[in-house]
Amino acid sequence: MVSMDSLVRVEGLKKYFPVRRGLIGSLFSRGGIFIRAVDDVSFDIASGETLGLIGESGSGKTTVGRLLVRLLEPTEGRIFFDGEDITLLSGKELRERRRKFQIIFQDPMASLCPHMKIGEAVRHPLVIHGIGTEREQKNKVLKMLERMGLSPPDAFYDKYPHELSGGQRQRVVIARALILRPKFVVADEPLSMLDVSVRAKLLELMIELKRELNLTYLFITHDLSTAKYICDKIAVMYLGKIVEFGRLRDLYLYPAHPYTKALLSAIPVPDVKAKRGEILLSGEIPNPIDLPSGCRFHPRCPSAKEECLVKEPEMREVSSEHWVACHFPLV
Amino acid sequence: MEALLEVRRLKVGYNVEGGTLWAVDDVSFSVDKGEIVGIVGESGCGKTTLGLSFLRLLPPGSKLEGELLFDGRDIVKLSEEEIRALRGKEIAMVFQDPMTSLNPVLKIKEHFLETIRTHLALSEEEALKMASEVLGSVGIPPQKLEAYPFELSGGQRQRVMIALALVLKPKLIVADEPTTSLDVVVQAGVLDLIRRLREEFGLTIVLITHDLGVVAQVADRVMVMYAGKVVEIAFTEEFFSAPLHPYSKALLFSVPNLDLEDFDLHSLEGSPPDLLNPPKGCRFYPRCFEAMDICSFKEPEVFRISKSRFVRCWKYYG
Repeated sequence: MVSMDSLVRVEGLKKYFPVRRGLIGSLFSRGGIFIRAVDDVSFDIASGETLGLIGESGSGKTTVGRLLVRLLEPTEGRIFFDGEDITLLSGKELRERRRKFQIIFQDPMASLCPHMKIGEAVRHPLVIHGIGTEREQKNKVLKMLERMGLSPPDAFYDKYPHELSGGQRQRVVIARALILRPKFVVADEPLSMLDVSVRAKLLELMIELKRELNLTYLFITHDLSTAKYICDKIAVMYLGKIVEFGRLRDLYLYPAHPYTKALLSAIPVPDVKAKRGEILLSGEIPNPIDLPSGCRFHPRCPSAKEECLVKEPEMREVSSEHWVACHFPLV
Repeated sequence: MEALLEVRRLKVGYNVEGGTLWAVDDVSFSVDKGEIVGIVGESGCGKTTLGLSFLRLLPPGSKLEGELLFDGRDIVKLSEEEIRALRGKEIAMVFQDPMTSLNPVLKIKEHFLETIRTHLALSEEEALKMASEVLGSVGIPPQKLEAYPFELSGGQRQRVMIALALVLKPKLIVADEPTTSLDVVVQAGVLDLIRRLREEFGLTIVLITHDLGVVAQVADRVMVMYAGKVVEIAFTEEFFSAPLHPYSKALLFSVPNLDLEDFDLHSLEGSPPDLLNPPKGCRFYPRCFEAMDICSFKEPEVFRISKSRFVRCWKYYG
C-alpha cells in the first residue's frame, strides 16, 4: 500500500530499548524491562513535503528521526524509502542509499569534529563515497559554503569550528548534510540552540534550500511556532505514539487532541495582551517504562474521563486528513 | 518605588588579544524592589556579563568600572570577603544549563547543605528542613533530596536550581536564560513558577534572556541591550505595544508567531559589530533600516521619552 508519491513511509515502527538491571534484578524478574521509546508509529511523507514531528523531550521524536536514517535498528516495523524497503539493509547497500537521506543534529558544536577544518568536514562525505577528484570535491565544497552564506568561502574552508558562531556552525552542518544532494533530510531540533534572530535566518535558509534542491524534510522540534514556517503537515508525539496528525492549518486552528492544544498554548507569545487560554499541563511526561493505563496522556489531561483510564484510544479521522487518538476529541 | 539595585555608568571589560573588550559599556538602569526586569539581546550583547557583574563573578583580570549600588552598598567597591558573604545570601544566581550547574556526583541535599551552611550555622537536620520547604514551594517532593542530578528531568533540575537560589531568601535573583534549555511545556511551568514566587516572596528578579516571548510573559519592565549598550528601557506593556528603537523592532519581528496569515520571517540582516573596534557612530547603524546620516559618525545619546522610558537613538532627538 505504498502510495506513488510518498518518499518516506513508516509502518508500525517500534523501538524498545532494554533497561539494564543489576544481577539481583535479573534473577527476580522474568523477561526484559524495556523503554518503549517508539511504540507503533506509522506515517507517510510525500516527496517535496515537510512533516513536523512535535513533542516534548522523552516523546520519542528523536528516536523516530534516527530510525528513519537507519542510525538505530527498529525493534519492529518497516521503513520504505522511495518505494524500497530499507529496514533491513546493511553494509555497502545501506551506505549507498544513505547518500539520499541525511540527518542534521541539534548541537552544531557536538556534531563537528573540533580538530577538523570545516571545509574538510563538509568534503568528508564526498571522500567516503568517492565522488570526484580532490580538486572537484574542493570546488563543490566552496560552492556549498558560499550558498550557505559562509562568505568568502575560501576563508571559511580553513577555519576550525571554535572560530565560528553557533549559527555559522549550524550552516556548516547543513552544508555537510546537503553536499551529497540527498532527497530527504531529518532535521532534529536544528535551531533550538540558537538565538531568536539567528534562528529566523537559518529557518529562511532551510526553506530556500528545500525549494532549490527539492528536498523533503522531517523537521523535529518541540516548538510549534518555529514549525509553522516550514512544515506542511504536523505529527504530534506523546510517549512513543503519534496522538495527532494533520495539515498545518487544520491542526493549528482546530487542535483535536488536548495535548496539542496544551503545546500550542505553552508557546510564549511576545504580546502582553495576547489572550491565551493557557493550559498548564500538570506534571511531566511519565517514564516510558511504566506506561499509564488506557490513554497514555490521561494523568496529565485536563479533560480525562473514566474511559480514558481503561481504554487506549485509536487513531480516527475527525476531518479530511486530520487524525487524532483521543476518546473525546476537541473538534 | 524604592530601588534595590542601581547601576550607574557600569563598564565591564575583558582583557583579550588586541586590547580590552568592553562587553558592558556605560550601562545605567535600576531595579525596584519586587520588580521583574527582563534584559534581552542577542548572544554577545553583554547581558550575561552584566548579570555576572552583580555578583562579581567575572574572570580574573576583568575590569569593572562605575557603580553597582545594591541596597545602599557599592558592589564594585566591596572586599572579596564582603562579596562572598553577599553571594547566594543576598543576591543569588540561576544559570542556564542546570546539568552543568549541578555537581553530578553530589546528591541534591549536598548542594543544599553546602549553600546553606556556607552562610548559616545550622545543624544538618535544620538545614535539610529548610531545603525541604523550599523544594516544596517549587513543586519538587522532598524525597528528591536523596537523588543525584542525573535522576531528575531537565525541568526538575531547573526547579532545583531555582530552589537553591531561593533557599537563603535573597533580596535579588539573577536568572540567566533559566528556561532556554527547556521544552515549551516545561518552560511554561517554570515561568508560571517565577511569577508565583514573586507574588509569594516579594522577590526582585533580573531575568536575562534572548526570548522576547518569555519577557512578555513575566517581566514588568524590559531593557534591550545591543553590543554592550542599553538601547531601550520601557514598561513591558508599552514596549510590546510600540517598541521605539529600530533594533527592538527588529528583535520583536524576528520572533516566530502562531499567526497563520503571516509567514514572513523578518530576520535581521548582518551581525553585531566587533567590540574591539566598535563603529564610530551608533553601534546598530550598519544593520539599521531607519538609519540617518548622523548615525554613521555620532553615537546617539540616551533620550528620555517619558518618566519610565529611555531610548538610545537619534530618531528621538529633540
